[in-house]
Amino acid sequence: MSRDRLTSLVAGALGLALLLAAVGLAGRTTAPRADFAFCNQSEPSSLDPAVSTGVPDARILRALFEGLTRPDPATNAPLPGVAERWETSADGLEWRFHLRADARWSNGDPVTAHDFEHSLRRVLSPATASRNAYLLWCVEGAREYTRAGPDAPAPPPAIDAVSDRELRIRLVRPTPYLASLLSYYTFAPIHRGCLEEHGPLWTQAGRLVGNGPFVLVERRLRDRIRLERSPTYWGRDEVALGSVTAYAAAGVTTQLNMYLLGEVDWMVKPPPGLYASLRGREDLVVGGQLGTTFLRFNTHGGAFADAPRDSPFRDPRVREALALALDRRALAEDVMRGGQEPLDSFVPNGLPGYEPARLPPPDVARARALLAEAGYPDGRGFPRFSFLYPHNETTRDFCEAVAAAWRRTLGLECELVNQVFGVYLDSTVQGLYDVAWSAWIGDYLDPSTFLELFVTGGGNNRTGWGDPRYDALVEEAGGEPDVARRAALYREAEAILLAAWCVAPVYQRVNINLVSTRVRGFHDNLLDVHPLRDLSVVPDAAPRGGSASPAGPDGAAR
Amino acid sequence: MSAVPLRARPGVWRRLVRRPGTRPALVVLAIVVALAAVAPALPLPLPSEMDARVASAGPGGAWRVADPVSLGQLADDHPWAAALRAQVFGDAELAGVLGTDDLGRDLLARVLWGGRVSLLVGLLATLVSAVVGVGWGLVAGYVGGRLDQLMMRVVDVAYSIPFLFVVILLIAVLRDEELAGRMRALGLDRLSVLYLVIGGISWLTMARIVRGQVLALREAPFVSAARALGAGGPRIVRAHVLPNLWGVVVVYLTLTVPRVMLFEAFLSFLGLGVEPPGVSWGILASEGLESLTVLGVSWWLVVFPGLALALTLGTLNLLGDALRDALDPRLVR
Amino acid sequence: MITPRTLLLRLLGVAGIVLVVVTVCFALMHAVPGGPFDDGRDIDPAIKANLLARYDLDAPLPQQYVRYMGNVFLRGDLGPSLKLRDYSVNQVLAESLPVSMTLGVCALLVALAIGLGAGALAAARRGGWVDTLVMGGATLGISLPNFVIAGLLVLLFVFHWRLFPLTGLTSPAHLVLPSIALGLPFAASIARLFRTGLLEVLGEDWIRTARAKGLTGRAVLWRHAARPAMLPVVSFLGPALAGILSGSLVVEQIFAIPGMGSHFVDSALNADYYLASGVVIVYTVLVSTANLAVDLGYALLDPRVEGST
Repeated sequence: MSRDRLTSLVAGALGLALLLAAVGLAGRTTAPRADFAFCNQSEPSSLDPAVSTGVPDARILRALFEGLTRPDPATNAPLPGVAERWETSADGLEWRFHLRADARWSNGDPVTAHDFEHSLRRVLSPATASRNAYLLWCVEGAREYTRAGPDAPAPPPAIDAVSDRELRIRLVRPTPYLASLLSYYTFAPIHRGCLEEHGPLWTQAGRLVGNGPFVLVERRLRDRIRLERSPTYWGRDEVALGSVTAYAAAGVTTQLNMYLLGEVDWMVKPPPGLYASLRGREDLVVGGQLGTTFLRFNTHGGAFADAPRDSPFRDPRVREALALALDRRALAEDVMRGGQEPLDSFVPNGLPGYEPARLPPPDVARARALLAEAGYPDGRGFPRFSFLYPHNETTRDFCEAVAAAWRRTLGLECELVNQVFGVYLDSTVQGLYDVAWSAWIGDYLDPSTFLELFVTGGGNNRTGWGDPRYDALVEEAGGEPDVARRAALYREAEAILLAAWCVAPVYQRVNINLVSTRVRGFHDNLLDVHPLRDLSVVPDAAPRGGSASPAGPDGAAR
Repeated sequence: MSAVPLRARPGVWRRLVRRPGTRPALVVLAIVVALAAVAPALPLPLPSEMDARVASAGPGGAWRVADPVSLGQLADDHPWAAALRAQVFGDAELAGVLGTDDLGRDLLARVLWGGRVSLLVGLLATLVSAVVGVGWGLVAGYVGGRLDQLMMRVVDVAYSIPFLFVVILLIAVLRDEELAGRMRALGLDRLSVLYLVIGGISWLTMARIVRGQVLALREAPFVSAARALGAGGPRIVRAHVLPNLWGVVVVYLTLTVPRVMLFEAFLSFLGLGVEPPGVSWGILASEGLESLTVLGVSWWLVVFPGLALALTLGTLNLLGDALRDALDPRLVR
Repeated sequence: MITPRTLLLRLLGVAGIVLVVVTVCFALMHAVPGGPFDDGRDIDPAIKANLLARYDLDAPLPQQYVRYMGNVFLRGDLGPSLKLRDYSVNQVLAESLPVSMTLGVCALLVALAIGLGAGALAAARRGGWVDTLVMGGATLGISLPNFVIAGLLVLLFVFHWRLFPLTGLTSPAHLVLPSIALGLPFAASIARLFRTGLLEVLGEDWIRTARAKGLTGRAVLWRHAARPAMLPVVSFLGPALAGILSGSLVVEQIFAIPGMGSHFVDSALNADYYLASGVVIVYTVLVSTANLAVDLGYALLDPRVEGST
């Protein structure tokens, strides 16, 4: 081979490489900045309302689709969506939804009650394998329908289109929060023709037909999603934003930098370590969330499948001692440092129409006395136990502080065990832990979303605890049409739960949002739901939050 | 393959230290190792000790009275070092020399304690890789024939395996509480799993080099002579092959330590290596990057862990090169 | 030269490696407890069974394995993604592979440009302070993880001098810092190899002859010595490519670049069996073909190398 040929070979290879690089970059040119851009925390798992799970999915889905109802941006209360009004029968078991005449799909087709019949039944169908199907099991025949095997299909659930513009839903028990539940993104309608034409991958840009305030223009995996105002949406005149970009950037520091440099107008959950330097900023929006961070105690002693093992945590006095030894305020304010409030109930504060049962205040002296009473004075003879938490930096700091508190006040030693989330979950489900960090975020504005967890043998109980009185109260409350009496029953159940000390609530979770001051219509709320439909931006009248001039390297820590 | 057996020759040490740069490298390495070794006895805060009042403070440093709870904890975990520290320094400690992180933890303490973990994992993983690699290469080279072909084919195949991925999978599997419990029963905590895994995938080159050496040695006149005199296989390996291998093994080991330390840092950076509250240089580097925001740049969190890594790995690489040159005069010009 | 027979054998070898790797990964992924559908709450057994059935994860393992292998090798279909449910694995890779390749190629170019330049400079000024400086820098370069380099680059060029954007991939400027962070450690290795190679060649007789003929140092260096001295560099390109691809895992994360690297860790940790296996297959194919190509290139450059490798 001659030298010249070799040289041209090498040059050719390099040229090819450059060409490849150019192709890789092609199509990645910058589109003009959208009216509103935000960090969506991660890539949505799916844009199919029935199968998607997770908050990043929900933000996009609420823009692309609209259910019978939609959440009020300030209070989360159900507002008319595709349904312009609805009514309930006297026993609370039958609901009728009346659809608006001008609801349209993005391809111009009218949205009908038949679309909802098909879509809601689809959520419940075993073939769809929706993770959120259980939320609709209050519908007659729904649970049986989802649970039926492929060999013995069950009759469809009682969701029926009475006419093009009327949908009837029959329930097995009164569910006063049904209208609110139906504003959940899972229960949006999908376009049957689109699904049938494209099959399982119908949700890609260019294929997807929606009925929401926005349409999907572009989706780059793990990069961005671009939305534009839908010209066919019935309320298009109420939608202020013409275009929206949602970034999938996962790193929280990356997100913060994008926000501070003005590349986005909204980011969720800035790093807790930086909360101190963000506090007091005008664009920091903090509020209570419908979520509780708590500790689970394994009251069974060992794996739930095995016979109970000898363990100090079988003794309620030990559990109470460990719970009372924790200074909830210090943990919330000094360790979490993100605006969290200590919580002395299991159901978080702020639910309309419900006043939670309360825990006694922390009391180290009493904790030490209880521990001594249980046979472990000053922690002597107490076995080293495992304290399980899912891998995450914030959680780690929190659990280290809890372990330090137990060491300091009670003389107890524990081993911190961290696992990836799926594994952690599996361990708690099987009872392979002594104490476990836990969190629960409610699905809808009702105490049942918290208190149904701890019925005996419930899949999310995971403590081994059970009490027939508690089960009976929760069951009775679920079937109680009278709202006040219902709340009282739930409160009684919560008191039993707290007195058993199978859980130790620590703080109410918070929503922390950084929102540029040029954004209007952004309200803090319990569910942390901020539909893009209701947001607007004012021109750069009052630049702030770094939207115009980035801070210098030494920081504009205000 | 016609490798000239690297053998211990007289004057290796002399040649080594005469090479420019070797002496300072040795001194730096000795200091790093010594500081890491005695870290528990130094008058510093504990690496996990948080102090919200001094969060994100720049380098400086001042003497203060140590937190008695931390001292108690130190006495529990390292009684000997704690006693020494109390003897020499009393309850005084030097805080904030290299600054603090966003949780107010002392960076100098974290770098030194992290060095303990990083160096330990590096050494042990290297040892594991040496045992596997030397064993593999020795058997392949000495037995030869079909077995050699097969064993070297395995090594070739293994070179094309994306080990990073396999390691991530393996670590994910080993996070299972049940499996981890069983491992703990065998005396394997997460750290030992880490160096076993890293060592277990870092032996390929060692195996190749050792095999080459053994092949050459097998045909060397003195080995043929021993064989002619009736010496058996194990005896030949023990008496003639192994003693002539150590040169190449030591050289390659010196170069393996920085490689596996890099690997540990890589895994820890991704959150798959050393687990907090344990510290390693990889974790520190990752935390440093996380601290870079428009709100304020804690440069020290990026620079000092990076410097620790650079100094240690740099001197190790330098020494490895020097050692190779010193052992192999053919390369010395 | 390489005969078609050896080429065929090597290609078969690549296929064998892929087979082995996929099998190992398949086994490991299915050993991960927790399963692919855990996200914070226990799901009803019926719903979980529906999910497993939908993705053919309820079949006996050997059956899943055979079906998967058939799809991969006969139809080139890597299956659905369990976590990115709007995409097939093929689509995910089709979208992210070019991004990673772009970054990888740029990093390789950086490595070659800096590495060859520095190596030649050091060789030309052998023994001088330039040599010491370059080689010291190279030793440092192979000692620093790319995330430390990335950190320093970000510190200087994003926060201090504000020359480059931090994240994303929308313009060539976005590629500069990631490529440097990714390529620099390999530039250091290349510089060391090239310098050693040059010095070795420059010591040989025919170079002395060329010099005696009156050629200047630079001419000798570039016209005669460079090509043979490239041999060790070329054989390093295979491992370098593998290293760059795995290094991009971290670099993509730091600079928020939507490449294959981000799928790499995520899919493994989240038990996305199909995507994880898909990434590993693509990666294995890349690395083994790169090794093959390097061997071929080596044979072309060095006539002494026979077909057997």
